[in-house]
Amino acid sequence: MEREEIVRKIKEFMIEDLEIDEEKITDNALLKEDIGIDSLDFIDIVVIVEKKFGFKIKPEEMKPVKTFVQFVDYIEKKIA
Amino acid sequence: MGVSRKIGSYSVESLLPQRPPFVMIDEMIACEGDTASSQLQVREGNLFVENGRLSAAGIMECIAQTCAARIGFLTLEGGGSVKIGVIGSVSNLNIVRTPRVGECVRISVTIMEEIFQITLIDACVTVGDEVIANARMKIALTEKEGKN
Repeated sequence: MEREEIVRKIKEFMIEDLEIDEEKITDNALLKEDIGIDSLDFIDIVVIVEKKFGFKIKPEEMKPVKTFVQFVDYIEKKIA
Repeated sequence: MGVSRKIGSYSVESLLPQRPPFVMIDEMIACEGDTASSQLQVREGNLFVENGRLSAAGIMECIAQTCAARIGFLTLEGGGSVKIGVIGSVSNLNIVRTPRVGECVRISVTIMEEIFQITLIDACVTVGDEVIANARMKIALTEKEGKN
């Protein structure tokens, strides 16, 4: 899957499923502080990522993932 | 579906931090793998009964307590103590109708994911073969222990 497609899919579920404003989703936006993802959203993300990208996020792997672009990097690496 | 011998050995009140009149399930029917189910006979006098029907809030509380009882069961089986949980969110709520006094409601929950003390469930509420409600719910467990 191309990186652009990954970004599109992530933005899509953030906007549609997590009801996040599109303008908040920028490359360097912090997932928690800027985009507003909390622990309740995280469990949704685990389920959606498994459905859309075919792997299960391990919470410990997400610890260094702070920004949107790092999240895209993480997904890209996992499905490579 | 057979009654789980293990879950049957616990009273509902030992699995939940809630106490009457706020206990919204009569008994756990099963708790196996990622599923659990309970039942409630809707009675006049139930806190959530209005105009002869269990309210939508009552249905949601039944779902939450079914999930909580499963968590309580697994916690007790692991040697822990029952902790207080809260409803984190409710989505995809679809109530076809609310159950009437005298009807027996069955609540079935399927665990979608469990992470960081948060459990994501899909729930289906039936009266006999009739599906009367569905919902997705997140239950967040606190560190606070229930009073047993």
